[in-house]
Order: sequence, then structure tokens, then C-alpha cells
Amino acid sequence: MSWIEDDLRVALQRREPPDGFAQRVIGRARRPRQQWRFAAIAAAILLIFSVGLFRYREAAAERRNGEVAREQLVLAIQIAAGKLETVKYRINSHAAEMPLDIPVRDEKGNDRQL
Amino acid sequence: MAAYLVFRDRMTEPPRHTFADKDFPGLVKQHQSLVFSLAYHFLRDAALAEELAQEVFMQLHRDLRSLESEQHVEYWLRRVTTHRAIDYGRRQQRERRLIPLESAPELSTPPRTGDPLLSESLRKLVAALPERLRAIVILRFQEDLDPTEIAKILDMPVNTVKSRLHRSLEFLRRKLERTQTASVHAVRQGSEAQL
Repeated sequence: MSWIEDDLRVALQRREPPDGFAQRVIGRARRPRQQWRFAAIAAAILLIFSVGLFRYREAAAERRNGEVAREQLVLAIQIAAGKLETVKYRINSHAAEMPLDIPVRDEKGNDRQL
Repeated sequence: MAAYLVFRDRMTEPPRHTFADKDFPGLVKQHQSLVFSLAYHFLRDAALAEELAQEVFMQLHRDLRSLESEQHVEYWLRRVTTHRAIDYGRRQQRERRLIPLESAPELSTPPRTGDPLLSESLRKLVAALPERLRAIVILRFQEDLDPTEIAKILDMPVNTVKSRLHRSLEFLRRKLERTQTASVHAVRQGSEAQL
């Protein structure tokens, strides 16, 4: 089997890569770091933007809740004021209808005017 | 006490040599033919072989600090290139990717051969072997590794490597004989027809 082994050694001997291969590899090895730096900067910007957006939406939601609460309070005050007005009106109308000469019974059981 | 012994051993053992970024260009120039040839003989496609070799060197660049010696680098390159080539070969078989002839880079040096036709036939036959057998044959005859070293690179028992190598050589010998007989027959038929 030795003839085929010798022929295989000849057929499979090492060969040089295409011209400029080493330069291309070395150039490529230098490149990714810069890309990595750009990616890191982009990721940082994105992170800051997302945090800002999150905070802004949170503040907007809080403001909206405050406005709803204020409107509810105003409505409650208006309802309470209306009720008070009604009570005041009823009191006043009762007072007007009430006779000024209210009979009073004394100790002996006789009615008399105040 | 045990902690003291560990500390003493650490202090007395020689410092480990590791590689730095500045060593990378030298390593590429030194080992480019090893990596490219392994890839080329495995894939038989210069463009794919260059792509694979570049990826291997990129991985070397990332893992450079974990390598301790020249022998370690050489072993690492053979191992990574072979395993990647096996993966590429399988993927290529699935995709049957076609590369336009113009995009394939020219080889800088033509292979030195005794009989170019015989060598080309052998390379074609090697490329037709299944991936693992192909890897064994290429590591044996391109890199001149013995079965123990091949077994270590391919994570295989040594006896498996030996038997597969024997089987591959037997297959190549038979195929080659058949090819040569067929071509001699064709030449004979051609000359008879001319007469």
C-alpha cells in the first residue's frame, strides 16, 4: 500500500493561500472591535432613550390620574353644594310657613300665646 | 497546610506563556498554509476554503490568550480547522451551494506534483470520502500526523482511526485502479477508432 501513501503525500501537500490572505485576516481581526464599540454606543443611547421614554410615560400617566381625581373632587363638591342648597331652601321654606303665634300650655293646663 | 502547598507550587512553577494581540499577525503568516490547505483539501473549493480559514483565524484571535505554546497553537489550529471543515462539508452537502467561477480566488502557487493527473484523481477521490474518513486521510498525509495525534484531534479511539485509515486507503487504491483501467481502455478504444 506504500505507493498510494506516497502519491497521497504528493497530492495532499500543503499549498499557499491566495495572495493577500494574511492581510485580509489581520484587517478583519482589527475591524470587529470598532464595530463592537459602535454597537456599545448605540446600545447605551438606546438604553438612555428607553429609560427616558419610560419615565415620561410614567409621569404622563400620573398626571392623567391626578386630573381625573381633581375632576372627581370638583364633581363631588358640586353635588354636595347642590344638596346643601336644597336643604337650605327647605329650611327657609319651612320657616316661612311656620305661624309666629305658637300656642304654649302653662302649668295649669291653659293655652296661651307667647 | 494544603493551602500552603498550593501557594508554594503556584509560586515556584514557571510563569505560563500566553499570546497577546501583537503576536497575531506573526501566527497568521506562520500557519496560513496549514489552515488553508486543510480547508482546501477538505472542501476542494478555494473560495470556501478561504472563508473557513478566515473564520478559524478570527476564532484564534478571540482565544489567543488561552493558548500557551507554539505546539498548542498548532494543535488548536488543526483541531478547530478539521472540525469546522467537517461542519462545512455537511452543510455544503445539504445546500449544494454553487459559487460562480469568477468569484473564486486564484491560488498563488500551483501544487507541486509528480503526476498532476494522478494527484488530481487522488484529490477528487479523497473529496468523495465521508467527512470523518476524509479528515483522517488529510491529517495523515497532509500534516503527517500519526494515528494517536489524529485520534486526539478528532476525539476518536486510536484503533478506530487505524481501521478507518486502512479502510480509506483500500477504497482509494481500488477506485484509483478502476479509474486508471477505465482511462487506459478509453484511450485504447480511441486509438483503435482512429486506425
